[in-house]
Amino acid sequence: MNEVVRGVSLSLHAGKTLALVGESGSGKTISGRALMRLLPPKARITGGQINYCAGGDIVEDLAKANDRRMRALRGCELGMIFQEPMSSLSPFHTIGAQVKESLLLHGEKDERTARDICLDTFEKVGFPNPGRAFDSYPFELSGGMRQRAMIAMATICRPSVLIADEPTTALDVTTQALILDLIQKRQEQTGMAVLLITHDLGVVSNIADHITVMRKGRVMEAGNARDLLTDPRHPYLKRLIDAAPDVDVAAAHDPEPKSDLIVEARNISKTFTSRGRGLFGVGSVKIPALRGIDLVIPRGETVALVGESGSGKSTLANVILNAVKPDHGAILTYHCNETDRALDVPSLSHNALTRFRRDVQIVFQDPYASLSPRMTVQDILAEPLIIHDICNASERRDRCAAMLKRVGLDPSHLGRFPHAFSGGQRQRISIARALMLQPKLLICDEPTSALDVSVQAQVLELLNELREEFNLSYLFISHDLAVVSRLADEIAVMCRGAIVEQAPARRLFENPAHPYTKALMAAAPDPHPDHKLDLNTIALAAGAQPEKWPEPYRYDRAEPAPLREVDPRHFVRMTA
Amino acid sequence: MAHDPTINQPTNQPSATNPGERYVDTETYDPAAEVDIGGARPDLDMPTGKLIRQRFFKHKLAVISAIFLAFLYLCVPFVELIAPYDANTRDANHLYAPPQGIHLYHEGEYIGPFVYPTKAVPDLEMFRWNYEEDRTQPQKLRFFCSGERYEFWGLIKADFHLVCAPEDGSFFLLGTDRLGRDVFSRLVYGARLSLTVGLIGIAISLVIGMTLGGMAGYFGGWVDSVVQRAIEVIRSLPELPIWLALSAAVPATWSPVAVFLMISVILGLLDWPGLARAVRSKLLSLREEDFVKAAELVGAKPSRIIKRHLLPNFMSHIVVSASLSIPAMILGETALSFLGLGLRPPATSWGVMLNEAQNLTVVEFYPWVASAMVPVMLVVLAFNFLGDGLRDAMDPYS
Repeated sequence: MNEVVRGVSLSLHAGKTLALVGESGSGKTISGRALMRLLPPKARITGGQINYCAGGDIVEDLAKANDRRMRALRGCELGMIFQEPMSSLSPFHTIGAQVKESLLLHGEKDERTARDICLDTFEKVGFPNPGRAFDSYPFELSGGMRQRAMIAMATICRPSVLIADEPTTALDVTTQALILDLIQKRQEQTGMAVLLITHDLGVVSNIADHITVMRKGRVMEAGNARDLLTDPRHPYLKRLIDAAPDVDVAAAHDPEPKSDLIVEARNISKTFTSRGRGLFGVGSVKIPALRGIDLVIPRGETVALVGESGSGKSTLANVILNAVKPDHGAILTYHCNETDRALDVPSLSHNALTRFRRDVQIVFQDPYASLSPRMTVQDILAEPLIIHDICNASERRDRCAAMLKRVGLDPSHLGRFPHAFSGGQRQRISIARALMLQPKLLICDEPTSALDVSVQAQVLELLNELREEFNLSYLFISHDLAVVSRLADEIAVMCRGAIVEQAPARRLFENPAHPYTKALMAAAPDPHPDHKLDLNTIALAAGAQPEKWPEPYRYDRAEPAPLREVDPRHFVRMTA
Repeated sequence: MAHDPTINQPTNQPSATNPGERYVDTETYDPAAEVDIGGARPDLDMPTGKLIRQRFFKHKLAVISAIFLAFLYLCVPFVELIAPYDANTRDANHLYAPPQGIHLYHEGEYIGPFVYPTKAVPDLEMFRWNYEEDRTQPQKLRFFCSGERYEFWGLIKADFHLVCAPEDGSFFLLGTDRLGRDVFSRLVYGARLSLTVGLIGIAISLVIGMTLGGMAGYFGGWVDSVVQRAIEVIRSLPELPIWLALSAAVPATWSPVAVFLMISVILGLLDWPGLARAVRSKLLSLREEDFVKAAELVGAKPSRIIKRHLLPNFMSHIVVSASLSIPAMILGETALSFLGLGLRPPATSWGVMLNEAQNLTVVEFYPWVASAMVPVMLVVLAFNFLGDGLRDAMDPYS
């Protein structure tokens, strides 16, 4: 028997929000689910009480309640929102039918009244057209809208307790801000108690009244939100607050312009053709993923691409890696060193491509998918050397051991399989693999977004050290401006396949011009309790819809506005 | 929420009623433990093969099935030694004789394994033979003995058997059939064809399925479309009539061995679509994995990617698919032979034996003639359990 949570006490009060904060494996989700008695089949509650007071003086111990009683409570008195809005809604039923179901299950007899209550709730959770939302299927809605539907479903019976398990983790930052605001509004409307389970202190500082910090199944620190965030006493909480990424404008880089470029990309466009439904693929549709991107990476510097999901930042990385061919008219050149002739990347010869592959490497986002489960660390690290036929077997072994040591892992673990490592360690192995060929340019595609904040800080620090040591240039892709603020020399903000603002890092943070950039910066949650989210700024650009931006930034998607240089080396996409 | 008041209770619990009250954990905390260095899952820290074996041995039913099947397949090369009679030896004095029991004690005295001789008595009312045991004359069985002559693997002339009938006696462990042939010996000989038809069929099915499925999955585009349409067409054909038509087309003049090979080929040719689909979908999903992309971006050639990155990750899938397809082949052979369109006498297989048990009289009066049912069921069940166990074990990291 393995004890995952021990001696945890929480109390939820009507109208108040308690945040349960912890990193992965801290037992926060298990604790939250224990309240609902929705534990995995192997888990058992071995002790303690879950006292539920429905009003008045009657107190009920849910730990001892029978299944019938729990079913009556769930969805009615106890609502729950999950992390992944797509998988928590049934794809076969309309949103309306699913939301209405919980009303009908919990006492509402009349279909018509149920429908009216649904429409009313839909309006309250911010659907612009409740009637249409009622009849749409989950796949027709965006992630944010699906999460709104989930909130509607969880709160339609006016529960007294809402348990929100990482409700915004799968969403883009601007959407996250709006959903957090919505949860607060619903709380005001219904007077429910909210248990917010999250790993993100920035989210916590915005909506929590009280905080309980968990680590490895135990409470580390608990108390009022403001007290904990301004005066953390437990060293673990101090670490967490220190590790939370925030933008330090003064520390951001503002390098001199350089003429020695390693990659020069001009007018990069990429259009994907989706396969049609007809026999043998007739009736295909063209989807533009990138439009007219200009980007240069100076040698030895870090260029950051920042944008929300669907902005085309990964596609751009694939084009630069020569994994995807750009559309006709693109100019993409690679300069091996300052004096050599520039290489045209899309039309590299076989030998030049081999050379290019040695020089340009990538670190992926998902530490679990990027290492083959059937190869040992030794095999994974030696693979690039074998492919490029560098050095003999014993030298290879030494190099692998040295590289593993360099990225902060024990060289004696070379014989292990990836599954014996944690997410952060696997990301270190990925970095080691990318560095085995001593590349000149390293593309990091969200290398830290799947990791816990404290591990994220360690990996970012490692990447920073390696840049100096191996004389690397980085193309760093992230959805989070705060993550790139410490590393980046130059930042390009992308939206819908186009760069909307680009400037040296410090200038961008000091003086963001584009509403989308401003929204991204405003939406990044900050653990300090005085820095609340500025919803008005965020609302201006949420949803990444260029048609809805204010003038002069507004443009039609088919024809983006031009980039203009508003300050020296500071470009903004605008019409006038 | 779970805490046991008796163990590990922290001394200063966070207040259960006032959430605003400050609580700080007092247990010693080592910040160095946060640095993400040591191994996280030592239980997964061993070679894949060992992990697979460990997981497989936890599946008791699969282990038993594996041992059972291993035993059967070990017997296949040595059927001549194991069977006391040849598959086609006829004993005109014992038609439809019931199983002879093996006894150890004769009139309270231990004399080792023996049988009582039986004698056929015509039953003119029912128009059948009744067999009477002569309880006075125990006939001892002979072990490691010389018996009927045979050609071992068609090469070596020999007469060695593990067990033989007594001198001047008979030993029909599972009785005899219409022509007075020993059912047990026929079962043993039948195993040779029935068990190998699945292996040959699956080999053919694997080659076609992996090649076509692999091409469809790896190249995609029009190759994929063509293979997919071909699979759909083959899948839409009614299975049994096609089997019948194809095996009816095998010339009656062919030798039993040629017919046997032909039947295996037919079974294999009709089985590959399922496997091809499995291979294709697995390849498609594996190709999208980041580690394959990483290898491509390091500059690995397609052959290396297939060999080092794709194959090791979908071999498990293939092994499981194959072990679940073999029983279908065995049942297919049995069905065809039962209908008289598969293997033809004098070849002996379990299906051919069941062909004898087609009419109701036989099943009612001489049920032992249908005893080939038992090994067919056991083998098919064993393969299914084995496949189940392999499927659970082959992916030790899930």
